[in-house]
Amino acid sequence: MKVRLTVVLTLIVALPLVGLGWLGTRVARNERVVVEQRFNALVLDRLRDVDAGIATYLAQRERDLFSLPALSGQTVDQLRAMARESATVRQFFVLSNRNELRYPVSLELVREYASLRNGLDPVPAPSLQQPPSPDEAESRELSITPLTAEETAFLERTHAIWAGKRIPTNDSGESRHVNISTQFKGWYAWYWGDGLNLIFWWRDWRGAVVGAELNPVRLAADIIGALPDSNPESATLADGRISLIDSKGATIYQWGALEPTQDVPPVASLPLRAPLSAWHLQYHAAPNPAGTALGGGVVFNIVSGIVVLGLALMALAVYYHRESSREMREAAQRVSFVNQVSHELKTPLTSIRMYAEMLDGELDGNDEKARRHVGVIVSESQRLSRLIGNVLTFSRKQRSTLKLHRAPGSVDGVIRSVLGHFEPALAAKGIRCAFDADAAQVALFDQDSLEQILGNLLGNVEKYAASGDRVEIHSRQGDGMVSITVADNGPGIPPRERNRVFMPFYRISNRLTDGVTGAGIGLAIARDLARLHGGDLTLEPAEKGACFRVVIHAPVAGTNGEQT
Amino acid sequence: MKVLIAEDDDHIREGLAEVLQGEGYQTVTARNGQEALDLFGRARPDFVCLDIMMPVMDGYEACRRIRHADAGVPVIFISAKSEEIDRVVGLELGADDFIQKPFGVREVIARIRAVTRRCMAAPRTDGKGEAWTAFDMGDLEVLPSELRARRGGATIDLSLRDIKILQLLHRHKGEVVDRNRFFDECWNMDYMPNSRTLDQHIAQLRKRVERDPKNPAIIRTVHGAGYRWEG
Repeated sequence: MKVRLTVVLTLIVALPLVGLGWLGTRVARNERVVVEQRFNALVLDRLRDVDAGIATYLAQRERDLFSLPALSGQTVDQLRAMARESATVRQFFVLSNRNELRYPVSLELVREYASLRNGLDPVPAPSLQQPPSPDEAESRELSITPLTAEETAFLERTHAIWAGKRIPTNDSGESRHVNISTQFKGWYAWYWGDGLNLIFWWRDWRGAVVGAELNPVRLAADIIGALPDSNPESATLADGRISLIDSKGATIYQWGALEPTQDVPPVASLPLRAPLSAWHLQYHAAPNPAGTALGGGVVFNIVSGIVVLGLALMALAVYYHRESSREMREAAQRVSFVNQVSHELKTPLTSIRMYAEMLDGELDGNDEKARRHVGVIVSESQRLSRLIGNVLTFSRKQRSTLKLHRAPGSVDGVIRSVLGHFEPALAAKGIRCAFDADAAQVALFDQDSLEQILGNLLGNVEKYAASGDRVEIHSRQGDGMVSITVADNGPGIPPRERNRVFMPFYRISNRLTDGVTGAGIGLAIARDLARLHGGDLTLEPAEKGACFRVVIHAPVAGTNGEQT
Repeated sequence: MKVLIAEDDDHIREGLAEVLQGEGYQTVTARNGQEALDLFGRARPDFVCLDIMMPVMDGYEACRRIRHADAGVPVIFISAKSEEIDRVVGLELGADDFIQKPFGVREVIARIRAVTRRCMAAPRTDGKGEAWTAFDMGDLEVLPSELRARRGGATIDLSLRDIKILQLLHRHKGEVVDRNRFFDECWNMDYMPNSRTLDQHIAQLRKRVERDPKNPAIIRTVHGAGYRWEG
């Protein structure tokens, strides 16, 4: 019993915890996924913001270049001076409407011009403001001034561009558009030397394509200057680090509190928009940022909740177990006490009953008054014996030790014996007894138990059916079963009480029972005993009064008492 | 027949002795198991009634030792203990019956009669030689070993004292048996303080054995002398 109780209590505690743990794990896993998704979205939003900042910077550069005087109208010296004075532009260039580089003049043209001149005086350079015409082309080519070192370097860096005619001159070009102006414009990015170089070009109102090569060092410096020193906007990302990576994979700039190790991959990476699409932004986070920042909190809360609940359930189970054990102990003590007292009562009761019966046998037949008095003592001692028997039987039932002692006997004999005890008391209340006997064959059953069943039924008739004038008892025997009906002529039992009357300690509360003594266990005991006999005790429908039917399994015994 | 009664409660012990004496038994009484054991050796009873819960020595132990001394003597336990285990232990120790308190006088008498019948049916070893053979008194067949009489198909239960009375009248067929002789042979007493005891007993016996108790044919009254069976 103790082991079973322990197992049950363990299950009561463990099952909810396992269920909660499983649910909690699922919730935590889902929560972690959601948090990670939110975190990644947050990181990407942040990286996009940074990208947008860089794009804003480039847009500003575009506006700055657009605000310059028309490059196609400038002289070479003016262009050189503009480039020299500009911090952001390394070199300007001008293409003719025939897609020929007019400034700076290409190296091939310089070489060709040098061979043609062959010692002649240089031709003064015409103004670039004059729109070129086909018949003037030759003369203009010959008017090229000598290249500076910067222009030579520019031509070397951009040789592949002019050789492949990559700068578009019409709308079908490959440039990228930013629709801030109706003019045709675009960025051109190429790799040279240490990395990415950028040219911004546009077509001016003269129809010439002009452009400027940005100073990469200044570009990087300006971009870095536009980036934040830290990440105060987002407390969530404050522990991480954002890095700007160039086309060669080198870190140009990074900010944030985290010092990422080399082998830890970034949690998010975003390429910059054109023309810096060869660069990208990376976000490095602290280990398990989702778990520690948000998901970790959920898991901790769930685990903490389960632990607290587990402890509470455990405490409840222990409390329940202790209370239950205490109640069981007290109940056992009560049962033991009742048992002990009942046994103690038996000794004086034996004396009372025995001496009363002896006195009854010795009384003169003429002394009716004394005989009546002694009869009351005998009757009451018998009633007390039945009550003690009921208490002890109920006690045995509670302790699950109620057992039968089957022995050969006559059911009718037992009924007659019980009737013999009850007839004087019933007669005193004006109740006549009628017994229709038909169970005379010797059968195997527990005579004491049957006496107790019948005693309780007839005791109820005596107590509750005194208004009736008779009680009828019928016995039937067959197929190993014996059926006994006890029908009185009293007020009967209300239909709604028909099942409750068999409940222990239940007593119908009405004028019939009020003031009548009793513990309310007689019918419960009688039914238990009948069922222990393999039968039952039922309340049968009756036109008047109450009719109880007892059925017990009592197989007919052979001559030696064996079952036949 | 002699009965040993061991019971620690004085009222029950004395009352039980009185009941059994009224049935025609001789009784010896003990207040505990040890006294019962001592008395058993001295008085040599025909059967024993033992309470279980007794001081000094309980009924189980007393039964075990009595069984060791005499395996054949019938033993009846009389106890307030009513659990199955109590019965089982008692019967395992060799008890012949188990009477639960509180008991009715008729129940005790019936059970002791049953034990007495078994005693009489068994071969006697005490050499007392009392005659337990059946005899007829008119149409009444008396069966002393069964403590019964039979008339036609009907059976009449009789006490040991009833049997002794009928045996005495049968042995002295046609003679008047005086009251003192009844006291001497049936009550084992020379003097009966209440002389109505015999008359009351005879009246009760007539109700059972006579066809017409008001006009007796077996136990006739001889006024001023005693009783007689004329045969």
